Amino acid sequence: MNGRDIFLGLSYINSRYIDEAERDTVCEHAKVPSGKQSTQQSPVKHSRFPRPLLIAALIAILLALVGCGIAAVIFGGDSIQEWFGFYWGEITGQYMGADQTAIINKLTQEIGVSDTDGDVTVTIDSATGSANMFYLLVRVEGYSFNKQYQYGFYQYGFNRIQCEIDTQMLPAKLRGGSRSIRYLGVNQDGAGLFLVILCYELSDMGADDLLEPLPMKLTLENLTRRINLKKNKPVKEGQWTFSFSLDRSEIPEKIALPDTLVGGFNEDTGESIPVLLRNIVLSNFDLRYTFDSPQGNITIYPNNSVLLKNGSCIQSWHGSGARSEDRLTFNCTSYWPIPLNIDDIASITIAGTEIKLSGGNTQIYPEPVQQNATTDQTDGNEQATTPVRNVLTDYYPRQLPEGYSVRDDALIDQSTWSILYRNETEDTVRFSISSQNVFTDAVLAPPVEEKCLSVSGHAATLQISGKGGQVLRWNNDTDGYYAALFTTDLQVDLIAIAESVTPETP
Amino acid sequence: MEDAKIVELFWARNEDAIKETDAVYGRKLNALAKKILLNLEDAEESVSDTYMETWKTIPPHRPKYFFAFLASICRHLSLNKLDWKMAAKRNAEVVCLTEEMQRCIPDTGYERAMEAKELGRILDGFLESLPKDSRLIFLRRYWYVDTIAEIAQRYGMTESKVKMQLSRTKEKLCTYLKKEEIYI
Repeated sequence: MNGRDIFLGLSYINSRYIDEAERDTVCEHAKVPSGKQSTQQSPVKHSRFPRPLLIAALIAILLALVGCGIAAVIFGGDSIQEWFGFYWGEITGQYMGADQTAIINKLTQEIGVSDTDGDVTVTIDSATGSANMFYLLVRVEGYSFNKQYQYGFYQYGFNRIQCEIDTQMLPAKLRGGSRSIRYLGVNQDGAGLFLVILCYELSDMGADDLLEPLPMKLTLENLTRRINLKKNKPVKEGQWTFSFSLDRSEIPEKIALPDTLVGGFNEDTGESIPVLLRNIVLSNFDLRYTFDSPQGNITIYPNNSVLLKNGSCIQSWHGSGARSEDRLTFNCTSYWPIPLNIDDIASITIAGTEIKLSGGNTQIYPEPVQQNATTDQTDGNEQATTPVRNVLTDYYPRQLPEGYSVRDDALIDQSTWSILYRNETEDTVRFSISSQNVFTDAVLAPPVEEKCLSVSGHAATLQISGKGGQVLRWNNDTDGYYAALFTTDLQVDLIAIAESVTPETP
Repeated sequence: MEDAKIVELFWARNEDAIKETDAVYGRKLNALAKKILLNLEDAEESVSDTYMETWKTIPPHRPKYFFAFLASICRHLSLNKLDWKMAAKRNAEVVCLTEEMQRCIPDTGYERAMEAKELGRILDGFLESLPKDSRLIFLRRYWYVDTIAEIAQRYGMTESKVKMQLSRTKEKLCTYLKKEEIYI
């Protein structure tokens, strides 16, 4: 191997890094005043400002960061507070101060629930978070973790993380969420430590301040180790299920910031235009704002960061965005990678525009929100709750062809969920479900044979390509979803898989 | 025209796809190819081949990052087209960069043959481990073949700071390659 090999190897890196290097910029604190800059050339003019759809860009960032366990860290602690202290040093290069530590401690709660499958015990040790975002420290005992894989790429994870939130405990409609896992290494006793990061989005941006505990069911399946970019190898099969409640009595600190003009662009014309951000709220966990886009064609690049008073710059680690129910505005959220003490923040930067924080920013003291769970009056004058199903998370194939297991699943946008299954020979089956959209993007190579049939009594279309590949699409109007199955494996019976798509039995 | 619409044109087998791609990204691709090949004519040929390869690849591909997709093809074709001996004689930037990369390889790594794709996956892990600023600067230098001055200008930094960042990142790369057992 020589230097040219590495140079050529760079041709095969993930496109997102290439894209990032083309359109992102360094943190503000890394820059120097313009007077000190290189003066040999005129400023580089970007011939075209990238204008991806906001949601697509945000979701892309979210998906790219899901499973970010490949970061090179060696963490030697055993508690979630120690983890945040360690991680703070990693991203700021400084020790965590007393006020920042106090915020972490204030937002941390013990969970202490365990489940054992075979000889492996998994414990949800503790959680840091509140409102709609939680970091969970997970400890795995009974498996011999190899310290060789503590650093770098070949790290441990779980094949599947499933999180079920009781939607009746939410004060507004659930419009999305994410969960990711990060391997932290082994503790002194040889137990593996993981950080599971959960967050959810509600249709009403102000509706997440519910003080009551949030019941949650978390399932982890099959301990895996990454063996290359695309493949995880199961190292211990098992299923560990936990039911617990997350305390939300510690309301995050929030401050309201003044409406601010930032640079945006009109997707239809490509023109750069000023965009007025409104309802800007900075909290320990995230940054939220809205802007008007009545035609749906106004967007801004979601490149957000905070500058701390000690000079450290922290980038948001992912974000999400969705139109309001009247479809006139965009509601956007960017999450911080670690809960932040607001008093330590000097300024925030949204889409390249800096907003300085002053003592005059309005502190928000949210009122507890009343639950609005659907209730039916029964004959006996008793109230009974009506089960509310989320088609995106509750409906998925219960029956898979032999040899296939979940490789990846992700929220594509606020109305679409996709699960990828793969077998040992790298054939794939992809299941996609949407509460709003018909699936039309899977196009097979001709010649294509098309059959009309039914899936559980609902009209369906099966297409089979003579060059390999099958697509099955159906619409279940009873339960309110569109679904599609795509596979490269002609031996797979897509009808059988589709017939098995049912909701979880309560 | 936005990326998604151009990709749709490719999927519809509409030859306007190439015209639109060239209108939006032609200059950037030409600049990238020219930095590698140091020859305008070869660069134009490389960009033209990039469009042809894109036409053959979409469908079935539907790239999420369209420019990155185009630029990857263009960089790859340009490097394949490069006459390395001639480039060395002309002291081309790309030759200096490969020499810098050479110094990141652990001593025993020269014996190891590795497919570029496999190496790409390892480099993905390395890039993920870097702070974002270092990653951006590293890629502008070694992927986009930008000069130090161009990077400094682009990010509003001094050239010495860019050099320092690159030097640290290269040290990290060497350590990373050791830890990933490239030297075996």
